[in-house]
Amino acid sequence: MHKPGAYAGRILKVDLTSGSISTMPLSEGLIKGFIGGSGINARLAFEYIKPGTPPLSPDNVLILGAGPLVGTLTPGAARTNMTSKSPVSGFIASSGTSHMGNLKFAGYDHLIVTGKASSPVYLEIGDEVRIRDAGHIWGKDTWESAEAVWAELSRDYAVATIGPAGENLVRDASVVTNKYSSFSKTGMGAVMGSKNLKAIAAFGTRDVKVADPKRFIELTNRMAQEVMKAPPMPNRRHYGSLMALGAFIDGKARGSIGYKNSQEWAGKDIMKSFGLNFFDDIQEEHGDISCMACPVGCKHFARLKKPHDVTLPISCAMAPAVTFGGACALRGWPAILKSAEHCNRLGMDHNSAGALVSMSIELYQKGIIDKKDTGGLELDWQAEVVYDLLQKIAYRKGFGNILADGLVEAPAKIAKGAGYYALHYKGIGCVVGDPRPVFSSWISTVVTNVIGHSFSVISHVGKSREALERTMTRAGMPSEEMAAILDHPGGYDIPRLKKWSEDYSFTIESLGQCVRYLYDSFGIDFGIDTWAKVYTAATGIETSGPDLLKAASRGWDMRKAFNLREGASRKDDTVPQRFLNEPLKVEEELHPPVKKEEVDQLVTAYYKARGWDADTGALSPSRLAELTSIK
Amino acid sequence: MSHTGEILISRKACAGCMRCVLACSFFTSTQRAFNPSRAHIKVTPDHEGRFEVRLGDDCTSCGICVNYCEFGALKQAGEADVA
Repeated sequence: MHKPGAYAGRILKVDLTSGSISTMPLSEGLIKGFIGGSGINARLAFEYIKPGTPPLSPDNVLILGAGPLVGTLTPGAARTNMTSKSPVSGFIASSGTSHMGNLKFAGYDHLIVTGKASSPVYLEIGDEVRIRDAGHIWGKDTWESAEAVWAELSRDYAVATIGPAGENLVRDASVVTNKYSSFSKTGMGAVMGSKNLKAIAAFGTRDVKVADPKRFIELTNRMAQEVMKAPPMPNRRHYGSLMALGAFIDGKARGSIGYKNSQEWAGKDIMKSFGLNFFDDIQEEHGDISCMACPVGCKHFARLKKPHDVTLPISCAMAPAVTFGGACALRGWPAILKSAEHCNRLGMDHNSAGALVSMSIELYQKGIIDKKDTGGLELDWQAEVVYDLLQKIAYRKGFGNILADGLVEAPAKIAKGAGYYALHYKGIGCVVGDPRPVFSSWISTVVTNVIGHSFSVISHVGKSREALERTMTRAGMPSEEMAAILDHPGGYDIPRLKKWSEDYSFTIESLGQCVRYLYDSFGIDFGIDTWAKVYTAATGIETSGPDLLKAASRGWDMRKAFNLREGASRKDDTVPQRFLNEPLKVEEELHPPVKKEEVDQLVTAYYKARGWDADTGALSPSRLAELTSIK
Repeated sequence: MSHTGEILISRKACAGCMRCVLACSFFTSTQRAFNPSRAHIKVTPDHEGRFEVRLGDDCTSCGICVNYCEFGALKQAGEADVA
């Protein structure tokens, strides 16, 4: 294969124990096998992270990858992915963000970090690669850290940094990039902290060139025009992820936000208090902020009106709304955004930190724990309680030290039976996605390797047959498969649809493209054939929609193989106990608990759709051999 | 569109997407490369969470950056406002 366009063609390897820095080529095998970004990361994780490795040991490996389209003018091609072994679950850790595309300008597609530095350091990845002392930055929050690194290097750098939570090995610690985007879930911040790695800064002077510039610009210009003309555009830009709120207030997803730790439905009045008009009313100044190359701008710069002491860059307003307004039952946008500021500065995932807080408040309110357990704290659904607990978790102080061990480990240390109140999927906090009101689509969260991909099927389930046929055609689905999904007795065949949604969205993700706001939320679907054309114009590699989908399927299965090797089994593909035992009243409708047998049926059907063993979810030996033969 | 006017910057409208930077380097460099160090416009984060936008001394006001900005942060002097 000629040197492909768009790819940098190199993997950077840094060992923090020895200080060695080296590069290796990005192989044709990995490119053709797994596309790039998340897909290749999955393969590298399986290769480099030995089974049974403790996630916070120096032997764990941190992998950062940028898809081939990152660094070009493809609208929305800003996604980079971190992959590792998660200290939250012990399974694969995967998290994406949109501000580390500078890795490509430094001349790398992937970064592999091994070992542990003897004292705090940060990585400067530019035309030169250096391991720099970070002793003077250690202890700073994520915003202060970004400023400190910029002051030392330059503001051209993309800076991904941990805060106090990562330094203190809080399981749900995140990595915040340029103050905006986070590698949020699965504990990447703790993995970095365990390596004494405070930050990764990237910028360089390398070219990103495409194979067929004329064709590439023609295709991507057309894509950008389509995005700008899309009817949802002005609102999607201004409100970003909040555009989904309507469905949770009185739409199809009503009741799915977990109010007071999913004990009850918040009620329309409370839900409306999160409304878009209130979001606007409290802001003195608002900015639409974008990821690299994206014309949408769905992130926010928000300066609140006095007396609220909040000015913050924020990536996703929906996350704190459902976490702090929903699970933690705080009222009003100022408290929701202040909670978000705490999490962002401390470097913690909103959903999981919020789920830990809401679990704790419920335990206290029910008398399962008391002030002796909480170190004197009285827990209630109040903003000051939430802020205090977030701080205590990040600094591992008092009761927070227990919560810092995450939703899998902490409950057993709190009280007998506390696990019932820890709502999570494979360790990631469940604050949205209650399956009682909307069973069939949210159930996808159960089986997903890592939460975050569940939305890929949810956005389809409510569509009309005609709309879904259009979507499936663009996803490259053969007509016989479409018929099987659409004509399934009792409604669409969700598990089979999920398989296709995963492969399609994982293709887009592995290319380095934003899935959420172009694919999921806009109603714009360029289609797999367009992505194949863009990929060929960028790289010079002839491909097709089916070939890209096969590569994405390999990446998806690689993650599953990683989890299976770490002991994952069918029992991990399950629903929090609360949803199996308690009904949920939403307005006048009483939604019964989810039936375990229905979950089991869907899990089995999903395993079959993916070609895994129908009982265990195991990959066949030939499939595993196929995946691991690709180097 | 006439491209003789200087590039005018509306800093608060800048979303930090860098489409202007990428377009500038791609269209004005002989390498046809996406590379911020080859661009004649620079976008960097400020202290608050917004962006500084600076033109290089070697900017020729060709207007490519204006064409690729979808946030109204760049305008060419003499360009009529869009109705």
